[in-house]
Formats: sequence, C-alpha cells, structure tokens
Amino acid sequence: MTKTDREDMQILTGEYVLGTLEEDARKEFEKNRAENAVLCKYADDWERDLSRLTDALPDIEPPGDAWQKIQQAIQPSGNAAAPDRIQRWRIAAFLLGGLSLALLVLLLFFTQ
Amino acid sequence: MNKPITDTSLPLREGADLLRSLAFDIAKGDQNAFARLYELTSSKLYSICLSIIREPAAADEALQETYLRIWKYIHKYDAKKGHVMGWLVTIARNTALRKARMGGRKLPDNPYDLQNMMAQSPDPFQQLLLSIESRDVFGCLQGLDKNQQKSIVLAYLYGFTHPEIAARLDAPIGTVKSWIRRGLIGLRHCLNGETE
Repeated sequence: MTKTDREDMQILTGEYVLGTLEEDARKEFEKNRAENAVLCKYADDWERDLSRLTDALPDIEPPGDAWQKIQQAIQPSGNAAAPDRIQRWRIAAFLLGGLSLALLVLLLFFTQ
Repeated sequence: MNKPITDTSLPLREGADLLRSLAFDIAKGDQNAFARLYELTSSKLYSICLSIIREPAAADEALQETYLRIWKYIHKYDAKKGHVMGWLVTIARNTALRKARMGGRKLPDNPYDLQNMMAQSPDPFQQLLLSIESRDVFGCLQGLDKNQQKSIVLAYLYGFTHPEIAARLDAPIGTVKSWIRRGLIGLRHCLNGETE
C-alpha cells in the first residue's frame, strides 16, 4: 500500500468517525470495515483519539427518571412467565402420560 | 439495585482503571457495577447526546438507548483498543447521530435560522480552546488551519453535516469537504508523531 493509499484510507475512516459520510458511503464503509483489518484498526484509532474532544463539553445532568427507565429495561423479562410455562409443560406431560397408559390398557385388553 | 448516588467527583481520565474494572463486572451481569458506571459517566454521555440532537427529550431517549447498548455489548469491549470512556463516547455519539439522522434533531433548513441558533449558544470552538491542556488531540488540533479546526469540531462534537458546516462557516460545501479532509490528514500525522 502506498502512502497515498494509506492517507486516503485514513481520511475515509476519519470522515466515517466524524459522521460526515453520506448514507451510501457510510453503509459501504461499515460493510468493508467488518472484513478489512486495516480499516478496522484506523477506525479504532480515530474513535479513541477523537473521543478526547468530548472533554470540551460541559457535563450535564440527565433527567432524573432516565436511570429508572434503564434499570427497568435491563431486568430479565422472562421471570414472571416462567412458572406459567413450566405449569403448562407439567399438564401436557401428565395428559400424555395418561393417554399412553390408556392405550397400553386397551392394547393389553384386545390382545388377550 | 439502588438508584445511583450522584457523585461525579472522580475525574474520568484518572478513573480509567475503575471504569475498566466496572466494565469487567458488568460483562458478568453485575447491575450494581452498571449503576456505578452510570453514576460516573451519564452526565458526559448526556451532554454528548444533547450537543448532537439539541432536543432534551430526544437526547434523553438517546441516552437510555446508549446505556442499554452498553449493557448488551460491554462483553465485546476490548481494552487493547483504548480506554473504556472512548468506547462509551463512541456508542453515545453513534446512537445520537443515528437518532439525529432519523429526524430526532430539530435543525432548520434555512441556514440563516441555523446561524441564529448557533449565535445564541456558546461558541463550541471557544469552549474547546478553553480545555486545551497538552499535546494530544487538542494540541494537534491547534496546529491546523482555523477553518479545518472548526469544521472538525462542528462535525465531531455537534454532529453537523457538510451543508450545516458550510452554512455555519459561510463557505461552499466543496470547500468544507476539503478543509475536513486536509484537517484529518494533518491531525493523523500529528497524532502519529509524523511529519507531512
């Protein structure tokens, strides 16, 4: 790769991280980034280096209920439903067991 | 898990080790570690979302989405690629930019309205200059042409597109693209300690 090629890739990657690429170019970059280790490395470098610019922004306290909403969203959602599902499986297993027993009795009755 | 206590007195840069340790615990599903991470970083990440989206309710949504993505993907964080805060900032910016592109940001089409709006807010470039401390990305930025500096800052911190930067700096879009390209290559050479 020539120096110009490297610079072009650095610029493309930098523009991607800045967020100034047009939509088509951005999607194309994201597709290539997943398959190209050099692009991936350049993007990691830009993301790391440019993130320091946010030191210039003042800290602003988020709305008070933001954390509560996040907290609710990360709670495991399957806990309440699990006992119902287990109960349904138990009933199904019981019915299948009963049906099998009835068939066995009928089979024994007719074969005698 | 308790509500986080508002204590952001720990300087984030000095707290890099703590953030790395929290990231490790969160990856294992520790919700208390997640609460502590929120306590330490949410005011910075909210500020990032707000600076890009410019509308508090949409910025609030972006912040929540950011932390849900952090919770979901923190196991993919690779310490070799940089410190945790950089990773968090990238997630917050990408979430905010995506929301802004989907129409979550109210930026007027009329460049004069845009100029008025920006004139009422603190000059982002002046804010940036105030925080210059050492020869890192800030020092390298100082070495660039003023228009290159401003274009990069407006794009990165405020999520401005080429047309929005052109309106803000009263320059043709092609010129802005050229400023950004030349600015980026100058910045990369400086950050890598190379001469152009």
